[in-house]
Amino acid sequence: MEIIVFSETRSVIEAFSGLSRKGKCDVSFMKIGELRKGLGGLAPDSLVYLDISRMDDVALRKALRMLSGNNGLRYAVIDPKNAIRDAGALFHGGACDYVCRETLRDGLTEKRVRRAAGFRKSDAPETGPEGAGSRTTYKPSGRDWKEIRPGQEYTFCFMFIELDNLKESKKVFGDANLSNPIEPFLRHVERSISPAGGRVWMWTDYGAIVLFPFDGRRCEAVLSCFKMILGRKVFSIEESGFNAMVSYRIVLHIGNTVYRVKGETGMLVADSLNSIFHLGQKFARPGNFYLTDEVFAFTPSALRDFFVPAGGYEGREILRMRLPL
Amino acid sequence: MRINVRLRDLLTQALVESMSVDMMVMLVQRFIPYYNLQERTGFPENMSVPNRDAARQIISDIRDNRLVLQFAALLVVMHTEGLMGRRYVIPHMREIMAEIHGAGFVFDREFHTFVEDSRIRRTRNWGILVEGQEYVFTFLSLDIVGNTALVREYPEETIKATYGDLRGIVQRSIERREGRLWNWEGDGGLVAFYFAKKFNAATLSAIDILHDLFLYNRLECRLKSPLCVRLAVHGGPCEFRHNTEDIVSDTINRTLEIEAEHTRPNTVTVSNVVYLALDPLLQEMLYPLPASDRSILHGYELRWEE
Repeated sequence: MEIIVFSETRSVIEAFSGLSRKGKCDVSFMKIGELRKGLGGLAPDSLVYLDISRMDDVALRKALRMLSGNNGLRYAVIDPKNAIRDAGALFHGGACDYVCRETLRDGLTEKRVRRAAGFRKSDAPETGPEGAGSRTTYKPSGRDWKEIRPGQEYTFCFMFIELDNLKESKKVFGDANLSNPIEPFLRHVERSISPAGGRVWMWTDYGAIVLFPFDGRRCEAVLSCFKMILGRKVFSIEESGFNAMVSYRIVLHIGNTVYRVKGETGMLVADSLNSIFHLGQKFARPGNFYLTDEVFAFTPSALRDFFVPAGGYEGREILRMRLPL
Repeated sequence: MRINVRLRDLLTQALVESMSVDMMVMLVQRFIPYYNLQERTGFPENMSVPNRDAARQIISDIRDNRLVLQFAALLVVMHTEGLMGRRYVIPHMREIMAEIHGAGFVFDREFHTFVEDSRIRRTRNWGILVEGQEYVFTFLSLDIVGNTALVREYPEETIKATYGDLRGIVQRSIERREGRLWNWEGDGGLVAFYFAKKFNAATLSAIDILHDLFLYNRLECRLKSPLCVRLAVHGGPCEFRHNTEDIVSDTINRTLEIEAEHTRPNTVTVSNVVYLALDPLLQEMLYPLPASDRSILHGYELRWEE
């Protein structure tokens, strides 16, 4: 576990330096001004301590928002001036430790820091055998596609998306005419997934399997899909060409697969791929958006209350997004 | 639009090679009533003006009257669809289109006119509206709820950054739909829509802004409580002025009135004029509001399944 202390206060640096010398903790120090930059490249199991003694209310709120919005990251607050009145609120916001003036003066111990780290379980990778209902041994593919090589196994966020009610649509439009309304839908999918780094991996008859790189820290695919559900009616009216409300279902899941480039996936066998197809084709109800519990752990906290339990499937807990009316 | 020599020559050539002088005069009189070719060229009344001289003079006058885009658009329509029941083959049409496109304009088939290519530039008159002329617009008015209290409560940088974010949301939404921000003050603004399905575009922009703002409030907002706005959509005639702040219009006043007096925070209110012109699917998204003073209004708000 790596501990990163954002502080320029001498007493804080001394307290944590002592910890570093005595214990087995790997402590590094950064300036508070480098907070945003510093959060960028942290290992998933890192623990961040933030010194707030030189922050005003606005800066503090901003920093806490940054920390709590960094899915999966554990963080704690150092308050050498005992300026915080409601320390409990920090924990409600996702902090795992609070170091006040007295604690700092008495000295920090390795035991305390480990206990703090254990207080809020990291959303970082858990290990276990790959298979139905079990957690995956994550092999993060990174934040983008730069390091991803064909033939290697990686963890991705898988997205299943497909148009609903195709039998009815075929009746309305006819087989030959169905390709016209499908084209705008496919363009809509591509446009919606690209900001989060998603790429269509396989086209199905009326939808697609999309891969998002996954770095073990955050899953921006959730927001992309959330926006697709939120904007479904606007898309139907404005772009679909159906002249009717377009209904599609979406499923997100995190799992491993050997990566093959698009078009060379015919012989690919992966449990995650089976899971996402099963969920999309057998479990998902029309017009809905589902997450597996693996994905939910990486869902931005501000959006979590929009997901409700939808039961289990193949040993996994599934959550469904509450739909906009 | 600045007309270059090549475009001027192409238009002249197109007239010379495709029509008689009488036809040229008939076309130019559509834009400049009582246009007198003899008088303009200096030829006596009893002499016919040579074809090339006529074309050169007409194009020159069209250019001086800043009517090149409208005139070129008429040639495109004559070439593609015909005029008064007759098709014309206008030579050099491809080159003329390319020149105009190079200047940042594209041909709008629905409106039969050239409009500015929004990927290249965006002006308040879409490149073609003429000062003092009356057009039918759809307006979208947006106002931040509790602006005064927010300004008092938060530091200036926080307010500036938050309102800047909101402006970004508004601009992204309207520019996708060919809307133009005519006026943006600290606590809101006025957007005009003129092209395409302007009623749909304005209403969809308002809904889109509400959705984006919902996510912004959840994920990024710097304020302790969510940023709330009121949005209203109304349409009607309005005289265009390049300085849009100077425009005085009943349609704009009514839009502002609907927004200020009949719109709840974080909702969109649509006037009946606009509602009746919307796609049925979009009408279904709106609900009727309790009858107000002098018209029927419809509303939209983001509601969630329990």
